[in-house]
This record gives sequence, C-alpha cells and structure tokens, in this order.
Amino acid sequence: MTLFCSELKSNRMEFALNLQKIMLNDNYLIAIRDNFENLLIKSVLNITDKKIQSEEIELHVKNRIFSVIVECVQNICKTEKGSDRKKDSVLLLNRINNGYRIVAGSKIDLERKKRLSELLTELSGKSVDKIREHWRFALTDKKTMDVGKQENLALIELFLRSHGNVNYFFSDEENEMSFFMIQIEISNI
Amino acid sequence: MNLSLNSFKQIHSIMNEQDAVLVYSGDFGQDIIKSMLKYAEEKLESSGIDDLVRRKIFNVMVEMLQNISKHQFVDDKSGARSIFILVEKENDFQLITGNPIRQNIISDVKSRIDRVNNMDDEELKIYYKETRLASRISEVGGAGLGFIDIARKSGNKIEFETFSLGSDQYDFFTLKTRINKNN
Amino acid sequence: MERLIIQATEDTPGIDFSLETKEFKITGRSLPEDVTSFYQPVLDWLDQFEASSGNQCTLNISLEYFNTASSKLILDILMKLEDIHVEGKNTMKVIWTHDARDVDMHEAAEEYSELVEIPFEIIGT
Repeated sequence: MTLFCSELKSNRMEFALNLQKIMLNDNYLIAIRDNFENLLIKSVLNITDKKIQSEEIELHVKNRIFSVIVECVQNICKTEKGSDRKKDSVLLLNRINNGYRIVAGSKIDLERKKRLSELLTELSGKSVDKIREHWRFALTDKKTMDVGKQENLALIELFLRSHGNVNYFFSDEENEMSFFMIQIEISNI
Repeated sequence: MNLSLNSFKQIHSIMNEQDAVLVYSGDFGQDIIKSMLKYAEEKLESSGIDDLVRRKIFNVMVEMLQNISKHQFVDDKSGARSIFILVEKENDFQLITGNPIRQNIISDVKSRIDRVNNMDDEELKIYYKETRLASRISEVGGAGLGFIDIARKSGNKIEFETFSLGSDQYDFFTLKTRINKNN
Repeated sequence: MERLIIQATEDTPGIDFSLETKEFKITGRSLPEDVTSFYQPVLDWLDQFEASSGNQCTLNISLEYFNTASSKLILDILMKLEDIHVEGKNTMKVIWTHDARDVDMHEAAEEYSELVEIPFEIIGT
C-alpha cells in the first residue's frame, strides 16, 4: 500500500479555502500584509497598477484608485526603516457596487495616532471645496516638509479623490500602540 | 462600522495567524503573474535571501502560478476562485495555491504528487527525463512535469489537501510547497 | 547652459530642460519616495537659469500622475519660475497638458494656475 504521507491532518490548509470565500464574497482583488519598506512599495504599486489596468473602468476612475493606493502605501502603510520589521501594515483592494474600495491599515504609536486623529477630524464631513482649501493651505504653507505635513497632504488627497468617501478606525492595542485602519471608496461614476 | 470592517478584520487576522504576506484571488493572467513574481523577487531580496534560494522560490512560484492559470476555466463553473498565498515564516517561505478542481481527476493528481514525494533527488532526475521524453510524443505538452519540477526545486515534500465545495462536481484543491531560507 | 536630461522611469518623470529650444519638459509619472533628491538637480538647474536673461521659455508639463510628495516640488518649480518671470529678465509661461478624460488632473492644473502669477495654459487632449 502506498503511503499517502502528503495528506496531512485536516485544516492545515483550510485557511486558503476560507480566505478565498471571504475574498470572493466581498470581491477582494488583493491583500498585502507587510512592513512596506521602500523596496516593496514599488512592486506593490506594480501589482495593483496591473490589476487596475486590466479592469474595464474609466481612466479618471483608474487614476483615482491608483492615486489612493500610492498615498496609502507611501504614507499610511509605511513603517519607519529599522523598526523591528514586523509585518504590521495591510493593504486591501476590493470591488464594490459601483466602484472600488481600498483599505489600508497600520500599527501606529500614540504620537502618530494623535496627529492622524486631529487631521482626520479636520477633514471629515467637509465639502470638496473646503477640502481643496485645506490642500491649498497645506501646499503653500512655509513650514518645512516633515512627516506630519506629508501625512496631511496624503490624507487630503484621499478625501479629494474619493469625494469625501473616507472612513477610519483606531483600535487600541497593547504597549500603547494602536491599529489604524482607513477605508476609501471610489465610485465608478 | 459596517460589513467591510468585518471582512477586513477577518482577512487581516487570518493573514496574521498564518504569516501570509501576499494573497491574491482572481484571474491569473500573464500580467498579474509577472507583477506578483516581481513582488516576490523584491521581497526575497530585501529579506536577504541568497541567490540560489531566491531562484528556487521564483521558479516554483512560476510553476504554481502558471498551473492555476492553466486550470482557471473551472473557476466560473464551480463558484469558487483560485487563490495564491505567499507565507513567510522564520525559516522558510511557503507558497500555497488553492483552486477548484473537477472531482474525477483528483485521485490522479494526488497519486502523481505522492509519487514524486516518495522519490529522492536521483529518482526525480530520472523521472523528469522520462516524463519529458514521453510528453514529446503525447499531445499534452508539459503535462506532469510541473510536480516533478516543483519537488526537485523546493527540496521538500509537496503538501496537499482537498476540501468540499458542497458540489457534486468540484472540490477545492490546495497545494503547499516550502522552501527553506537556509540551505 | 547645458541641457538637463533625466530619463523617465516607472516612478520618476522624464526631464528635458533646454535653453536652446527654450522648452522645459516634465513628462510621465512622478511618484518617487524621495522627491527631494530626485528634483534637486531640476531646482539647481533653474537656479542657474535665473542668472541668464533675454529668454522666453515654456514649461511643458505633461504628467500622467504625481503623488502628493511631488505636488510640493511641482509648486516649488512653478514658484521659482514665477520669481524669474516677475523679476523681468526672462519671460516664462506654463503649458499643462493632460488626458482630457482625467478630470482630476485638470482640476489640479487649475489649482496650480491660481497659485502662481505666470501665463498658464491648460490643454486637455
């Protein structure tokens, strides 16, 4: 009798089936979890770029999705170089009714949480015109470009591109860290 | 919040539990395969993996992704979608594919995998040559080389598991290869 | 002054600034991580150009996409040209071309045109 030694005890790979179900259910295209260091950013963008290009959607919608992903990858998901290389950032892309959803998540410290919180409160619920004003102000203010300013510009861009369709969430973790999640929806119209 | 937060949390927690870094589900066209390979390449490089190991992973990944691509036509009929997962553990990388497969070919696939799993390097080499010769004559070009190739390159047993899709025609077939980070 | 040519890559734009043709071109995509180091040579070149006089030059922007980090540098370039234009020794103008379907890019170009005092033309193709 041949030894079927490759068939392992059940459920070792069941997660693949489960992931597939969830992703199919909510039309996820791709999920990436990593520390998003510089080197990987380019190829992450490459995958999502290719994926978006192959979808049959209008150019300006494609550009909006791309732009949101770029800003998420380069600003939200990005972890400091040299941080203990844990894969604490996530990026997901899925198709929804009449559009696309991008979700980016990252583990952040208290300082960053405070900063993001303030910026997001400023921007939430504002009209597109008001957000453009924020953009003008942020772009032209004489302060040197630091992380905070860069994050501000990135968040403003997310609001602009999605016409305000941004939701976010902070979930407190141990060691004074938080998990930050931001969801941006781009409409097909 | 709403539904999206739930599925996000689910996906995130599964990825965390399983140490998955890349999950792709959908169509596996040439373009998307190329860019996933590029992603893996850069990831391996930045992980400081040595050249030889990198090439192994790369080659195995190509085989596995192309394999999904070849059998994609089943997706629409089964209601399940193909999936590719890249897992990074401390000592190895794992490549996992899942795809719906017609029930009537499962035992054949399983026996082919078991066969290569029970061979050592030397036997695999010979088997590879034999199969290549045979496939030259048959019309199914390249058939069966995939598993042999994967087994040879990964240096580890190919693991597989099938799951029910609640269908009387298709099951979900998952495959895992492991490649050690150090030789 | 020597011509400034930087080949485009998948995440950095093509730069072609020439005093001979009087055209300063920025084309392609701009999404570098480190914008400062990419655009420094461009700003340095414009500093040198500032010292010249009697030129009528056009900045031709034809960008498919730029990230927010680049948006700051693009403003820096425009403001530098504004200084040069206002100083009077040279005349500058900007022509911003974009895919007519890209409404956001049109919007962005308009915003920029309101931020600087230089003749500014926006063309959708």
